[in-house]
Amino acid sequence: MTLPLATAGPALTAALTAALAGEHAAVYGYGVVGARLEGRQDQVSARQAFDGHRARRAALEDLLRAAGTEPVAAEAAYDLGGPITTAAAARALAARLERGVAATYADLVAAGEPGLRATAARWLVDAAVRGSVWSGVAEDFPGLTERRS
Amino acid sequence: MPDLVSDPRRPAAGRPSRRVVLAGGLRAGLLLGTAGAASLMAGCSNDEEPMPRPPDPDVVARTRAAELEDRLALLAEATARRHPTLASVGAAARGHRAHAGALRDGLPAPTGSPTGSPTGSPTGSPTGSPSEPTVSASAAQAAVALARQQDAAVATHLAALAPLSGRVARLLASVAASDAAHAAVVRQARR
Repeated sequence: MTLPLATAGPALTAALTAALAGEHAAVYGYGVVGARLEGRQDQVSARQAFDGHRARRAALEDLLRAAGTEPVAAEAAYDLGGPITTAAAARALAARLERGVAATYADLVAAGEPGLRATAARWLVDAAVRGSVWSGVAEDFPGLTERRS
Repeated sequence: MPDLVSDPRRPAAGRPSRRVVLAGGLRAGLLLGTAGAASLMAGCSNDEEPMPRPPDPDVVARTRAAELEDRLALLAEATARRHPTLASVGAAARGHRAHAGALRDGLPAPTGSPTGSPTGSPTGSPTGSPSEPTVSASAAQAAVALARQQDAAVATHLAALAPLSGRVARLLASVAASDAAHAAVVRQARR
């Protein structure tokens, strides 16, 4: 996927940067989730999600570079909202990570030109599906923080 | 002039005959066509005749998507009635109703709906009568049937995004993502 330079205004660059920051956090978080779920059946799902988020992170870095913007780097560590000591806490964290990236992809849908918009919408769908599988509950407006109950 | 009054073809007072309406519509169409051609030739300057305004893509897309969510809600509600043990289906029904409400929020009254039928035309919907969709007697099959319709709606919503404003595209993409998530949970719960 290429991004024409002319279409990358400040709003689009900001949305891409926010999405990349979300993917940095997801990659970090899924590292913790996968470690906590080691030996369990859903460790495979955590591994797949980890790989998927790393691929998204790389795609977003490429898009930002194509737009002439230096991609934001990952933080050294992320606040996971407390120690992840149980499998249930790990699954809840995974669902929270997906909610985080979903919000950035919803904003990218709004900011993106048609080609990027379609891609961002697919990524939003992926995040919503993964989040619902982790939590067992489907959100009615994934990514729309203003409608979150 | 009693002859005129008794003429059976004369329309009743206040009720124009179909022929009159058709003729009027034809004349209006010709006038619009003429105005359109004239404005083209005049390079659109000094144009006093307003050009027919194309339908707002946001309004068209929101109306269509809301009708699709209505049909999903009807199917999910019928499925939940037939299989009350499928808790995720009841949640999906509430979700589809919420989607339809959010998509219609702020739209003009449905009488002006550019899609025509105010009850929701069943375009592309294999669920049959909007009053009571058929639901399989098997809970597992009913869940799969609902999830299939939800996945089809995801594809329809995503295909409609390109011409929309950013705000409406964001809402519709979220509705698509929710439909996909509900389908995933409904499929999971059937096992």
